[in-house]
Amino acid sequence: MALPMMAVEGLHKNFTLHRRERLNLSVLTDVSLSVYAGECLALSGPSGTGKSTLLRCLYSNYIAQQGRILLRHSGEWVDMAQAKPRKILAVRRYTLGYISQFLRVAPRVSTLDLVAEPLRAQGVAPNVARSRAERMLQRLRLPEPLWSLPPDTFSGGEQQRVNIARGLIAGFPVLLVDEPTASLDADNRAAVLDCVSEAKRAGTAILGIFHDDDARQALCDRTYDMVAAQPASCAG
Amino acid sequence: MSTVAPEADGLPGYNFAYLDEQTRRMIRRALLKAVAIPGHQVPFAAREMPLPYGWGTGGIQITAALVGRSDVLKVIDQGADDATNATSIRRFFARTAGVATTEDTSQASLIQTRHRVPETPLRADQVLVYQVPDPEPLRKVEPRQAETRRLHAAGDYGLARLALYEQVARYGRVRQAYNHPVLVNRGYLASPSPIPRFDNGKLDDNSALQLFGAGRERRVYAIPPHTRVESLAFDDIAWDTDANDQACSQCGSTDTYLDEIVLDDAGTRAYQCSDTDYCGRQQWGGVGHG
Amino acid sequence: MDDRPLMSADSVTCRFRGTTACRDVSLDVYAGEVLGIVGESGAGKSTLLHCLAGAVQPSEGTVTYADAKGHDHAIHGLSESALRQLSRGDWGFVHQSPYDGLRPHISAGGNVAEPLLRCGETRYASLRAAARHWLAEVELDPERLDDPVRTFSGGMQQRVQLARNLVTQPRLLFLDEPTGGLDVSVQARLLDLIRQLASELEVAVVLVTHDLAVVRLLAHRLAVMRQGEVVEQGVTDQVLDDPQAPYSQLLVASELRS
Repeated sequence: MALPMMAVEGLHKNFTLHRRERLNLSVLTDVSLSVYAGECLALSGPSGTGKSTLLRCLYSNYIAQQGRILLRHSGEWVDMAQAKPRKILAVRRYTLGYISQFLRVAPRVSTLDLVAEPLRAQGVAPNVARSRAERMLQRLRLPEPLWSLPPDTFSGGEQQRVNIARGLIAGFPVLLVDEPTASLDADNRAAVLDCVSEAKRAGTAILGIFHDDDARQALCDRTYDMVAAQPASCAG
Repeated sequence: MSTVAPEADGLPGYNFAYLDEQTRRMIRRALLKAVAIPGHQVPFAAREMPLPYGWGTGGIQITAALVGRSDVLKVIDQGADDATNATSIRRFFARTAGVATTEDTSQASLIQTRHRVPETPLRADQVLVYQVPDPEPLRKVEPRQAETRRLHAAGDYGLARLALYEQVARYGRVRQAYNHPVLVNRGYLASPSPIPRFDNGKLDDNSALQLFGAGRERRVYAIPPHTRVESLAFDDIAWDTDANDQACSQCGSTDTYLDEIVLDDAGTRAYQCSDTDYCGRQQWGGVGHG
Repeated sequence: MDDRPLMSADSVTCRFRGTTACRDVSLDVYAGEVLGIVGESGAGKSTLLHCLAGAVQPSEGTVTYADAKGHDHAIHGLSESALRQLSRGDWGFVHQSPYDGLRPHISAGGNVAEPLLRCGETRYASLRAAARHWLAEVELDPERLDDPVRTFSGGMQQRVQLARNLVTQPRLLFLDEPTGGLDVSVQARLLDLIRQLASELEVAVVLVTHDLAVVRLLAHRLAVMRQGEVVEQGVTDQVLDDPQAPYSQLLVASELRS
């Protein structure tokens, strides 16, 4: 029997734009879902239905106005919608990973160190973290000469894989993924899917956005339809 | 050379030793406090003296406060009894206090000095009074007076050591030849008045009471007899006494502080004891130290 | 993650002759964490920083510091000598202008060694070794150990200042616009260094800046100040990506993006 890892209950998200006469944009209305260990749930729906916004809310990158985001963090349930910043940071350090579409990292830091960083943050010794980072980059087929360079000059596909390596290396029990295989060629896509599947088999609960059919078929067990699940929401 | 007997019983129309009795008392009270807190600068209400600042107004006030009819006074300037400053101060007290004076270190009960410690070891019944131009050992590293007091209060002498660090880093050794600061009784950092570094060792565990007076800065401080006095230094760099390897051209001493005298335009140099009394005694007295 | 703050400000208000530089500010600083404080000039950021560091007395409120033994101290109630002891051993303060935090005529090595001297180090060899080590840590050429810092460029001086503040291995580092006026590559190098320090040496960092790109990279948590008040506080990316307060939204919207 799989363990529920994340449960979202009645989540609402709107943006109040103070600089445009307090314009109120409602993006998510009453979203409820749950994700189990070892399962992959795909968010579906056309652009503008709030898929990325939902992922960002779950990562506490965006603040949800209403509802609960329950996450199993070191043996207890944490409501990310109410958690204090320190708790959010702890959850992100140990429990919740987020592979976004963009690589946003400190300049001048080598790719290897960037990938090792999530492990270092958990207190893993530098040499252990680096050798695990090397293995991860190898599996994701990032050419070895690039490892010592900062990724800012890399191609889109290479940056994407650095991002994925950072998301996977620490073995987070819950993973949020936003189009992990966009801008990758077939071979690299296969390598990425292989790594993500392995994480899933190891029990990671995955919630993601997958536009690419191969990825969806290879990984997803269930789909959450953003349009069907939310009552007609008026944006604007 | 020899002791000169009192001429008269002071100068008519003037107080004994120039200062009035209340002022002498005030200074003695400040000195008692200074003795009680070795190395600590005690403020006192310095008076105008009939000589300019920088000529020993601090030392002369201490001497005036302490001198009694039975005292025998010696005054030296850079080790010499016959320098202008020494002669006039000695004459000043001979006239205003009618006190006996001497050039013989061992005969003196009260010695006022500028920039030297006599070579002849002092005894418990002697008092050495230093003329101090600037009593603040931290002045060069911290120009703000209020801040230097805070540093003294906190015992924070890192800045003073920083100045030494810079000397060692740049020149390979501590280069400060005079006025090298000392830690008194492991407490306060004090300026040894600008005595040569050569003399710093004589401050430590000295049998005599050592008093320091700065007239313009209105401060007195003291090193009581047999007080531990350490030159500020690094633990891992041996203290360099700054002795040179010359001998005195007059008496032949090799263990005294020598003045270097340029003799001609060719740069010929001669060396001679800075302590004139000691040097003469070595030449004619034939007796050793003390 | 230890959940006891290293330093806490509780309802701190600082008034100077009628003007209120900061009003009712409460925040916590934790070991191994960078807390960013942003806001426009005159928002009270620097005053708050100096108040946290004990240099400015608050009109109201308290600042509490937990020392290495776990004892709490209300820092503004401490004696001057106790506060000095903390601020020269436990804390570092990197000023915006290197000339406020360095002695220009003293060598780089002397500047770095000074805090150790003030903590009572009396061995020359140890001072040299520490100065050399920390200059190398901030990526300065140890060959320049004995050059006066006034002969260094602005970016190098700022690194000397950082080295000087790290040599006592402080638990808490205050940074006041440390990268202001530096060119971009030097700035990146300095930021990277600060980031490593916080994570590897478990130093708590309070970073005041007006540069949102800097806090985005460096700060774990962020406080936005306006007219002396903290208008918003939270996880850095949350505050920058989904700002709630009107002023935060304006600030974020004004950011130049590369």
